[in-house]
Amino acid sequence: MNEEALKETLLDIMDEARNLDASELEVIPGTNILVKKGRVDEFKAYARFYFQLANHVPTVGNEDYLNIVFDSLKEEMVDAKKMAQEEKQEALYTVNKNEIERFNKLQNSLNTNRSDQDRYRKLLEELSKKDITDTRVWQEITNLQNTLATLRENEIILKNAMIDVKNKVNGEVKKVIEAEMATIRNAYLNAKRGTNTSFGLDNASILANDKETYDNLYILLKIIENVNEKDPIICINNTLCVNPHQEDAVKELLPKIDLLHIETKNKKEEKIEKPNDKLIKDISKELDRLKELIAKAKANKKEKATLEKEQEKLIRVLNYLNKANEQEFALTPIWDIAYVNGPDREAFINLIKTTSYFHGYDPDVKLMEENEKLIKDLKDYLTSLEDKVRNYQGINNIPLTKVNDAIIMPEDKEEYENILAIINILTSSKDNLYKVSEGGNVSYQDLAKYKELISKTKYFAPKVSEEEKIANQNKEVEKKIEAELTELIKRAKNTPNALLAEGKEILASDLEEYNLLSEQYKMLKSVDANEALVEVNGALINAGKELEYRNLLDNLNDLQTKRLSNETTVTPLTNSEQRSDYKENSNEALVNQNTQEEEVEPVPSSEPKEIVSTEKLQSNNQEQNLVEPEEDVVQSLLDKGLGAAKKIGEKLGKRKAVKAIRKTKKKEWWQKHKKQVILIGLLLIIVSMNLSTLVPAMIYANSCLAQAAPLLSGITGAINHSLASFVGGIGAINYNIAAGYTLQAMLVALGKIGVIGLSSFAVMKTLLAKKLESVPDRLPDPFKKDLIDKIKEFSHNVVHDRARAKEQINSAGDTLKEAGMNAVYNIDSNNINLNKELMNEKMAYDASYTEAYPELPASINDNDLAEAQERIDERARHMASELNSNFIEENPDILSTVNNNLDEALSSSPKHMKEETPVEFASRVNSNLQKATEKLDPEARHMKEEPTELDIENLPTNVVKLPAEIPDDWDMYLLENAKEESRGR
Amino acid sequence: MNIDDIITLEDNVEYMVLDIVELNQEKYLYCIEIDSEERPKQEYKYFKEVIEDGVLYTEEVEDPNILETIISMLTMNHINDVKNEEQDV
Repeated sequence: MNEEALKETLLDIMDEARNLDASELEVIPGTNILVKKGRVDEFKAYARFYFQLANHVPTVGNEDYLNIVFDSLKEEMVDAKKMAQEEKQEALYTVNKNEIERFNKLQNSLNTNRSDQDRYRKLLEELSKKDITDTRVWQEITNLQNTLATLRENEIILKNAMIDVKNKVNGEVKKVIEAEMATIRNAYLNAKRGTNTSFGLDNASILANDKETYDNLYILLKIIENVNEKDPIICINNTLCVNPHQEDAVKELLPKIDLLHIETKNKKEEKIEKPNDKLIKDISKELDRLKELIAKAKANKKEKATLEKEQEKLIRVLNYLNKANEQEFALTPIWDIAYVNGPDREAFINLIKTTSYFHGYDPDVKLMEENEKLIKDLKDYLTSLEDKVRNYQGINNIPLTKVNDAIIMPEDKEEYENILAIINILTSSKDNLYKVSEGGNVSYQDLAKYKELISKTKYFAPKVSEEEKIANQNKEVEKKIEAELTELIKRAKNTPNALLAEGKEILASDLEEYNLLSEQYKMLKSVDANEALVEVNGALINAGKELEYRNLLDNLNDLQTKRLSNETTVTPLTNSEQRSDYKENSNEALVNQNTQEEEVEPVPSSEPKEIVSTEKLQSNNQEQNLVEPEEDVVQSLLDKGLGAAKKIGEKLGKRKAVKAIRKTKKKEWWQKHKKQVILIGLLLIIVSMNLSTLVPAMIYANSCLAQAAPLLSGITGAINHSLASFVGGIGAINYNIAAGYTLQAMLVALGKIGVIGLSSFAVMKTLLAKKLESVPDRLPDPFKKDLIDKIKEFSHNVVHDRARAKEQINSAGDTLKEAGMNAVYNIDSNNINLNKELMNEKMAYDASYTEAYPELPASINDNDLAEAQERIDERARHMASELNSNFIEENPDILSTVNNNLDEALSSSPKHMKEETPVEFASRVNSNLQKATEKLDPEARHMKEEPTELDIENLPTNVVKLPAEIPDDWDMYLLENAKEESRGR
Repeated sequence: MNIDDIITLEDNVEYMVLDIVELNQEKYLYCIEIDSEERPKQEYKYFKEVIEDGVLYTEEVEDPNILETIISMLTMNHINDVKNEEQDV
């Protein structure tokens, strides 16, 4: 297939998708391209070949080509459609253009005819009032009547001619509309299965995408067909002719029909303006004006000669401009007004500089005007320097300096001389001036010297804004506050077991000082540069807040002095320098202390944008993560200063948008390993959440998977070492046991979240402990229905998606190791507690349930309860003794064996994962782990065998057993219900 | 979202959807983070699927009770799967 054929096929697929229902479409993974279901691979293959052919690329490394090809073809599709529309528009426009012009002429004639008729009728009326016996009057009346008759005949002829034109114009439009409608109808006939279809207003079957266009065309067609020839006719948008009352409807429709939206056509024919058109026009006008002036100045030879010279120059200018317009070559802009060819630039500038006409446009003239203003300012500045001397009039022995006859202060001598030099340069700068950002325009040869001079003068020194001034001045004070606040935090850290201020990282005793410092900091940060300022102890404050600020400083100083006098050991406190003029004595001490403190890293003074939490300092403060809003600034500074910030928002539960969904590229790998990946993840969470009831399910799942690759058997063997002994060995755990425990866990969990109400929960538990099928008959409605519904819903949720691919084993490096370690430490002890809790819960529910429904047998009688309690106690005693003796003794061996073997199996896994095939990796790890398993737990061998069915009647007595009345297939009953439910849906 | 899909979140982290359960008409996803070679990393996640204003989001499950429930359901799914596979073998 060649490039063109590939392109056509791809366009065909894209066009097909455009008309299909969403349910028939499929997204190409990794893109937003939609194609018909089942054509993804086809599209990808064609797109890949097309990309390679079109770009001469032999191979494509990634799937970016899909989007590239799609976008380019989409653009091409739109362009092609647009071009086809434009061609049709053009054809229609060409055909109708002359006719519509004719129509307009006819319309004008008709208007004239009608106004003539009106005029003559009025004359006739006037004449009729006269004496009609008068022959001349009679004759005139007769003439007028003849003329009016002719006019009326002409009117009919004009009208008929206009109707003919209307028919021609509308006939062409009608042809186009009908052809387009037929095309749309044909598109439906050629549509493929699954395409979205609809009906047009004429009940024709069409594609849904075409409906709007088809209906608009249909309405327009009906309008055209219903033009009343007896009524006036007008032409709209140079497109078609209708009655005036149809005008609004047509004007609304035309923009919606691309095919007939011809309005833009005329715009295309507009003349393209050339760069010098406007200037040429203006100069031509100027030349006309000069011509007149020359004619008038005949007598004044001098004036005439000047005008003629100007005229001659402007004609030369015109030549340059026309040349640039017509034979454009390296066009160069001149003075933002003219464009000339590059080689003509110099000659042109020299020419226009000599003309009066261009004088106002000369940029040098503008710059020289700026210089004049600057020179004036500089001279005023020199005068101000001279005036300084006058301030010392009458004082003897003041050393003065003389520069160019001016007497100035000696310290101003250099400044004065520099300014004089600058003025000289500015005065002599006339041609080809360069603008200097600091001020002034000078010629290139003076530029360096001028810049050097202005860099030395105070006059040109950068102006500091009020805001900057405040920021600079207050910076030091702010830094000191930051340091003091940091000290308060440090003091809290270094004072164990002390009471902390609520919600703060500081001592409760420091709260007042902390609040005052925070307030001071906020005041400094909120100084408004637009208001009057006063300086208070080195800081700039708004005059309106001076008193408040001084009071705050007083309070702060008192507080710190008081604390210092109370303290026996030297602890923090700083920031006293700024308050030195208030309490000098105490301040000295504070300053001294401040210098003893270790340096605190400077804290950025800008306001923080986010709220941060700090390291938890004390146990009574552990729940406090958020800082109160008004203290954001300070708290943020503290956190940054200590470098112990920890962002909130990193917590769980953050919502994240899904950017893309795709299928795996390593389907085979995942098929082989997914089940183990799932198992490991579940094991991890089960262990970390102490959900020991789910452990049998893990053992069961692992025992099944172990037949293929007993990767986890070492781990589960170890973690369930104790548990296994109570259920007749790991190998004894079958599906019923695992599912029973899992359901039990699920019921508890569902009860907690309210999915199953408390009473239902109790009954559900009873149901699980009794024969399921016999209970519903005894339950009163609607309770029964509610319960059955809940069971069905619950079962459905459990098994809603069982039709999944067959996946197998996986390896999972450190996760596996971590799971094993955590499990070894936690599972047994947690298991005892949880089972005990569950049993107590079960007994409590059963008791209340029996009370509420006395007709139902109690699930556990008094003896059972006593027995159960005894079993739990026995189990707890047994576990405790095992943990204290055997297990602890065995533990080091188990741990070390697990560790050694895991290390051996997994230490090189990251490196090997890429080098080995999954099968090789699994085989190597399995082999190592199998060794560990065999050493750890001889019973793990059972896992390779068929799991032994558990004899429920003969379970060891210390197990929370599933009641014997439960049918063997009780879980299947639930599953069947769910299946039926699913089928019902 | 479906089981076995690879989803890319706004932080450009990719996850394989291992399993999905429904609870109270909400979809919960059991996912594992994957690297650029689609190998599993050590991060397992339990997300709730949220659709808001036509935009698909994931929200990590925080409520321990919900988490406990969906883990039970996922565990049940898992043992049913391995049982079926065992029967098929």
